[in-house]
Amino acid sequence: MSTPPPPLPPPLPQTGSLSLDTAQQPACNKDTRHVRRAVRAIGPAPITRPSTETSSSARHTRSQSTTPTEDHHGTQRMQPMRRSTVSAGTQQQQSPLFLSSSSSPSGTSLNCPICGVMAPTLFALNMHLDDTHFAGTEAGSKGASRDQSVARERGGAAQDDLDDVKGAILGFFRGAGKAVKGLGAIASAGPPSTASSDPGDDSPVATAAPGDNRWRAGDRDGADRDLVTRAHWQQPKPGARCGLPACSVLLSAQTGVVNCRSCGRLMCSQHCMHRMRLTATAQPTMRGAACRVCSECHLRSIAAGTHGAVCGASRDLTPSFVHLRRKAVSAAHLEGNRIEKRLEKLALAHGSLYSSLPSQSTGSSAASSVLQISRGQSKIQATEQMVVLWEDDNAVQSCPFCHKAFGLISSRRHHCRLCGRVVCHRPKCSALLSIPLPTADNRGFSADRCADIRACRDCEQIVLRQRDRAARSIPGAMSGGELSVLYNRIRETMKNVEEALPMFNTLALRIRNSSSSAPDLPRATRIRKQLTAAFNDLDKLSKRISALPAPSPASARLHAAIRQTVTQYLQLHMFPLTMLPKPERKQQMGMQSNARTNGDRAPRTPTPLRTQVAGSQELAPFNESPSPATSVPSSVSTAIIIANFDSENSQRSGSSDTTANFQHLNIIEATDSSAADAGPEPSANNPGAKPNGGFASSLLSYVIPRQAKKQEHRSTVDQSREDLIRPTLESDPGKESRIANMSMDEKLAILAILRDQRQRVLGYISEAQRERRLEDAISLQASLTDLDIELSLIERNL
Amino acid sequence: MDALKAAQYYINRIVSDTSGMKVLLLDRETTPIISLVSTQSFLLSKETYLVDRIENGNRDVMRHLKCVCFLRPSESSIHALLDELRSPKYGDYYIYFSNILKKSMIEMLAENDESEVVREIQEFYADFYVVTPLLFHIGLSPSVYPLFAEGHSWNPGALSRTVQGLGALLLSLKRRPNIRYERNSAMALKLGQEIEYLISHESNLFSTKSTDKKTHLLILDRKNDPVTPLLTQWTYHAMLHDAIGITNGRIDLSYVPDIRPEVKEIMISQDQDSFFKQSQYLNFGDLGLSIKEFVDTYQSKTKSHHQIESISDMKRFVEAYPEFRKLSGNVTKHVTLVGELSRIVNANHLLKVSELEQSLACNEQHSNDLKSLKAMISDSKFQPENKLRCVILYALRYERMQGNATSELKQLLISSGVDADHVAMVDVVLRYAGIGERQSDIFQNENLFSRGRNIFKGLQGVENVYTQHNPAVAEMLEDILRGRQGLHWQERLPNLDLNARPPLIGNENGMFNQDIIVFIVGGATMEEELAVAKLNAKHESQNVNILLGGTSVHNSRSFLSELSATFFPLTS
Repeated sequence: MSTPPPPLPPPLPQTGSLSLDTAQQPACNKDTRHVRRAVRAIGPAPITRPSTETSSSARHTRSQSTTPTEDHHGTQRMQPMRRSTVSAGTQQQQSPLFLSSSSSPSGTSLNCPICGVMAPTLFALNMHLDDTHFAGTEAGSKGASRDQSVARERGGAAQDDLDDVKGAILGFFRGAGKAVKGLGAIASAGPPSTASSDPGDDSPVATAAPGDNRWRAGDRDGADRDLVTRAHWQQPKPGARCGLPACSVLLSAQTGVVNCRSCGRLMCSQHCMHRMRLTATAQPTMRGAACRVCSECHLRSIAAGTHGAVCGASRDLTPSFVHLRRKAVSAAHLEGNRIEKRLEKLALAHGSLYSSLPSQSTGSSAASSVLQISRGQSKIQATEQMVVLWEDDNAVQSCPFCHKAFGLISSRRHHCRLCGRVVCHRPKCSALLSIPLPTADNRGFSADRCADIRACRDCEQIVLRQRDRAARSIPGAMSGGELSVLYNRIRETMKNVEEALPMFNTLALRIRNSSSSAPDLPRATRIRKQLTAAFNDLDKLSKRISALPAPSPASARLHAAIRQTVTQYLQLHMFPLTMLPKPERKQQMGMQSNARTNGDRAPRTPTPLRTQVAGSQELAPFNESPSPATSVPSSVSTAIIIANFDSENSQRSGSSDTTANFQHLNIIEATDSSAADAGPEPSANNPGAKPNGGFASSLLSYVIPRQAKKQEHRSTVDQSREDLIRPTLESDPGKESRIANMSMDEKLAILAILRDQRQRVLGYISEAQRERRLEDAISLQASLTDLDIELSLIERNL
Repeated sequence: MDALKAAQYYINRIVSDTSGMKVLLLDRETTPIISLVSTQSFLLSKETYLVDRIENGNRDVMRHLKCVCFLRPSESSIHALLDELRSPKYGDYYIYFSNILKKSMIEMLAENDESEVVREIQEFYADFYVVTPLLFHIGLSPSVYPLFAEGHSWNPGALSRTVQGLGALLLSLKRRPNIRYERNSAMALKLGQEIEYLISHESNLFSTKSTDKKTHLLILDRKNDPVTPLLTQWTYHAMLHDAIGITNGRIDLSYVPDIRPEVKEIMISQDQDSFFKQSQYLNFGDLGLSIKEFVDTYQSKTKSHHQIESISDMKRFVEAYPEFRKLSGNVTKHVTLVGELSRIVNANHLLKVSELEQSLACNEQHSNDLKSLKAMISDSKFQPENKLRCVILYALRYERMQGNATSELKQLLISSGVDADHVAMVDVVLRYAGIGERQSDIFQNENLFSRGRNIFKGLQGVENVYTQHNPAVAEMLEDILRGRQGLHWQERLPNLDLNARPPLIGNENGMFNQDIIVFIVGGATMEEELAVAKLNAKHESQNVNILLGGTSVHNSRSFLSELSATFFPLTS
């Protein structure tokens, strides 16, 4: 009944020794107000807790579990291959996007230089080259592949000799064979249950009518046969209610307690009676194991799958409208042309007067010039009256528009030069139109010289509309200049991403599911790299748009909206971008993924991407010797994301959009330059973290030193520093050994992060003190000490 | 049958049929209709970067944008559109009307499109407000469209708006229903006739080809159940509407002292907010539990976010960050709402009020009720409006009883400081929905048989004292679904074809494979929506879907404000 929300439990007891977490959630057990405050206190930025012993020991066991022989073998074998991927990767990272963005869609078709296959777009051609030809060469001849790729870099396609072509063709066949095999793997992972592969289980399903989508009690489904994950299932506990909000009956043996295979919620059996095919990760699919799902999931999949199921009536009135418009428009055109003609005549008349005046006024007196002008005026008036018959002054007593009577001085009669009507001077009734006069050589009209003529309201409208129509018919008039160009490039890049993303996800899933899918890996890595580059491109383009000058507030809003859309898009597509496993870690991951499914890190509703991300944590470059090829783009992308957050946070906190975007711009440009640095010639300087550079720059500095490390000289300076620090701190032997075990670049990486963290914690402390949250400040202070210890440990080790 | 999907289908067509940078122009009524069923990020993802009102005269000229207009074909919108077409500010125009366009309007538009900027004109029938997938309304508010003209008769403006809105709903669902109305209601009959006329007039639009399911449109009148909108609600969504008030999916909390700016106005939508979707039907007690769980999950997530030990952790954090931030915003929102609800419940002593209300609505205990009602009126801790509601309920229930104390209670109300105009509402409600106006026995106290049923129901015991009331609609629908033809009070519209046999609603086994649209003239309530949702879940196996609609969605305040004394004057 109506109790206020019950008190929240006190924070859970900490297991680790260094408990920063409790500090972050100050006393949120009183009432909702406290909760609210806690929500606010837990800011967007996390605070790193230095590694605890548990994690370090876990790392030890992990590294022990891989036998050294295997490890060596793997790395040695894979090394050259990966090297070649790098060079090709960097090349491609720029080429497809560069080409696709710079080239406008022209009529010429694109043919593959090797096999002559036609490709619709450059992007598709690039994909084709990568997938069929390049993948083949790489997998084909291990030793030669590197030379080939080098040759390719040097000479390009012109130097393709016979061997190359042969290898490419062979590679094509091999690639195609693999692709077919890969499809087979998918099909076998989720066998359509109508197939009689498992007659005992599937017979009731097979006999079911095709339209029947209800589940029969007693059937075994994909989850019962371990084909579909159960990790997301809600655990039954006493007092659980049916997951359908409208039902929410108390679940018991009578109502039946069933997990929906798709969403994992507990349901009473009545509301979990539908049948749907699910993938191994419990996503609805066309093929896959038939499973028992709740009515909501069933409805959702119907709505998503058959989009046309819900479609209301509509009526297209365009044809009748166009028919009606044709009449009106032709009348308007006629009127417009007539007025145009008159305008032309008037312009000629005024033009002849203008050209005659200056020549005569040079040598004559002022009086004569006045006379000239008045004479000219009367002459013009005569011509004007020839263009259109003027209405008789005496026939009109009041203005036809405002109905005010004409007087002698205050409200004089004026004639519209275009239709001849008498109107008054008020701006609502008539206006002075400026018309361009003929040029000196009488070849056309130019706006350099203008004459003003009076036109009534109606004629003015017609002229304006005529001019408007003329302006619209000029080809470039409707485009928004640079904005449109940039925007089109954004759309094009998005289209490319959407083309490549499903393929990548399929590959990633396949790699994860099957244990021996090494051939897919390079291809997936390549696509991933292209995607990352595309995301980077999108980000840059949208920032250029938001930096464009905005002539009006509406266009400023437009630019901001486009920028926001791209940010949304990146968040949607870039975050779930799957990390690819390193080949040598493959097996280990397979073993660990089972253990992890029960852990609290496992997401409740696993999309394939999310689980993949969770799985890739083990493989992140931190714990192992990383290959520069894969780590560079990923950390660049991370930097972008973080930069996005920074800008968003500042937007939220009230500062203006533009400044946030500019700040963002700087960060990304830094990213670009560093990515360039990380390319062919890594520069050996730029060691530590930039002061105050924020999250992104610290990550960058993580990237750069690692590149630089290749020809790194262990400096003796570090040694001396180590000696300086050592006595000031009591040491922790476990940690020390752990740190000592780390490689050089890992240490640098950690160092950069920790320094950044320290900076942040300092900020938090001052903030907490400002807001009088003293207990927070105290615990923050404690974590700062921890950070300092960790920092000094590492520094000593360097 | 999902009103939300039906509307979203149109919105999706509107923004995704044309590609390129777009500006969306809306009018006074389409703005809330769109904002109820779509979000800004959805519009952005469909390249709709600017949204503006068509009436806004000082929009900037942006020729490189395409313009998509979604307008109701009302006089004011058409005129604004004509002005726009005379001096077009954008490149191409794609115009969608939310209802059937008159021929003369098309001609007017055609004559004024001299620059030939219009590329498309279509009718997309999203002309109703969607609250939840099961509940829609026409958006009649007393200030814009007063419902009554004089007593139980339609105000012409409200009638035409309702016909258009209901017609649009039928079109969007592609239904051609059998229409039934409550026999005693002139307004329901009138509406039914108008809908029937519309269907026959636009017969090529209302074609039955697309759906094979039979659809019934039941037009009910609020006057047959005045009790439901007067009761205090205890489920989350209904409570929000009852205690705070929801207008077009927005809850205005700016009256709360020192509220934080980001929760001053809260949007709630079942579509975007999974927590709300799960808990909209929970009663207040369960809601407390569920929000506690919600906060707990949030806390555990925060905890895991703070364990950042390596770059991979950091990456994970960054990946989960937007979701996390969304979650944190959502937690704040719901904690604020529930906190405010519990404050209101305590401050107004709603538990006590509700107990009395439910007793008045469900049980015949005159002396007890009168005693507690008198005690309540003389107690100053109760809000005047709650006292008034209870007195109205009393007056309705014991209207026929010899020696009822209605006039005495009115005196008591006045002496306890309730405004005399408000006290007059007791009589207004009696004139609107007194026993002479009703046809069904909602209090089950009219004859011996129903009294016996009432007592029997009392013996069964109640699960929850505060939610024992079951709206009359629910009982009626239940009867229909079970196959008990409780339709003696309903009438089919007279069919012109005398040979046509009247279609049966269900048979003795119950109703199968049919859809029911219930439309309540005078406004639906959240309690009825909950009842419909329960029925839909309960009778899912019969493949019957019920959709509820009304001229508006009422809470007790809006219900009473619609029935002002001008429409139901005292007849002495």
